[in-house]
Amino acid sequence: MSEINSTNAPVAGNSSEFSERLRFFCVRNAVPIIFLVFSAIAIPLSGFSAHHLIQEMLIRVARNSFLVLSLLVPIMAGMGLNFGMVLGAMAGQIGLIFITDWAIVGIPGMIVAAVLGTPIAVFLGYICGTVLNKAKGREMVTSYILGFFINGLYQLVVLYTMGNVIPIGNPLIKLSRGYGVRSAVDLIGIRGALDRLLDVQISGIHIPVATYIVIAVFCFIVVWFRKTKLGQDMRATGQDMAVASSAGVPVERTRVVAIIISTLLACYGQIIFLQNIGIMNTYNAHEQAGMFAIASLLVGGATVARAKITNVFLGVLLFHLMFVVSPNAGKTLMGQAQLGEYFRVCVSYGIIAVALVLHARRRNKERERARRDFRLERMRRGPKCR
Amino acid sequence: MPLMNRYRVAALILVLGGTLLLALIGKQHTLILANEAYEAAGTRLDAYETAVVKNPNPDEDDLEIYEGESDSLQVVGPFFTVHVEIPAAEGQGALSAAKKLYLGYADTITVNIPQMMHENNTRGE
Repeated sequence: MSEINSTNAPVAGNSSEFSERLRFFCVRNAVPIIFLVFSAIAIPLSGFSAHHLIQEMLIRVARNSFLVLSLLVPIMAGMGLNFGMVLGAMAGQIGLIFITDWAIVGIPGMIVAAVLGTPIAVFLGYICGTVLNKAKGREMVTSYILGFFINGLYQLVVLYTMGNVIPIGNPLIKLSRGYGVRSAVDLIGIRGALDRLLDVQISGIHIPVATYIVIAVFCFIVVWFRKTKLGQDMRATGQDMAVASSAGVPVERTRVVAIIISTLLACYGQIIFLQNIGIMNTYNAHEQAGMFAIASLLVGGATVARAKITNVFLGVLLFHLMFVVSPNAGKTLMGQAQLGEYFRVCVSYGIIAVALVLHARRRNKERERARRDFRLERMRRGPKCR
Repeated sequence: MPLMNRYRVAALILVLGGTLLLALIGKQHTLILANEAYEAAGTRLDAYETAVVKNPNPDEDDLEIYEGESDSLQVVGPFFTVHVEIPAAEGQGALSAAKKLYLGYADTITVNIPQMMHENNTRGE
């Protein structure tokens, strides 16, 4: 998949070309390199076998990739990291609550949950996209706060209206007071439904082939989508809104559609995620979905303005590798597993903060360079040319 | 109506219809099998001492339901065939019967075993 924005690539044919290329590669991929180094140190300390790590990574990549892939579309449209994907996660969870109540199991249950969550995700995505259009240039923080607001509405709906206004018949998912959904809903009906659909075993390692097929199909859809009219409109909007608008691209509508698509995909991604977990924390499961997905994407070397499919898989792999090895590595080093967990949180989110700061710094430098080039051009043309 | 809108409406109907069909296929039902006496239209059918119901799950044992008791099965899908065997007892040979049930969207379906055996025997006459 080609990049959306390429910046300052070294020129070929120079004697110090290799060192220049290496420097450029290291600067551009600083975050994944740091994570690789930390993982290389932590893996032997953790004491986990290769078999265990490979199995864990296969499960985690299958579980999380779809959610992270849903972030690519808003980045393509220049809207940065969509923290509002948590809205899609909530829509998916509402669908799962209904199919658990109605006792629809297996793959049909997952599809029915996705269909039920679709109109909710489209509606929430439309709201999010419309609000983000009013906050151009501040999309990320706006979507972050919007996520909190909709989370409050979601909790109101699930805690008070379900079982009251919205009929819920299954007593196993209702609170003892007669209305409201329990904090943990057992998704036994769809647990592993997609993962076990086509489960291949190689040397004792289970590979959820069906889940990977779904992810692969989605990757092909993303590649195809970039070549469509709508995809090209999004790329144009992402590069320069003013130029895209002048070229006849309906910028505002395109941005809303990008957010709707992202929210919808987050809905489906959350269903895939929860069918793997098997239990849904009704009031918490969606909260970390956005943060972990965005963290994974940034760890994979993506930036706020540029993201590829390879960033997704590399990021999920590295981020979740740290998840798995840090507690045991911390226990080996410092005698307490919790310290390892704190260390992981510190390193993971610290590196994400550095990545965001580097992006802001790079953007300011580019603006400064553009202004300087504009001034030089005007000076070169002289006062006669206006 | 413009052609594109017709396609959209058709696609929407297809998706909704497909969802209803999938809900039917994936619906889990609780089948209650009651080995209790049954009375209807002046006829009384006594419960059997033991009734053995074949479990659709090969990893689990068949259900043995004693006189006056009930047990349940979790089944998935719109159709299910109940296989019942009554072991031979004094003055009575072994009996067996099968009944295909349409479960639809119902959560719980109750099957009375003596009634089912009676219907099966009557159909055979």
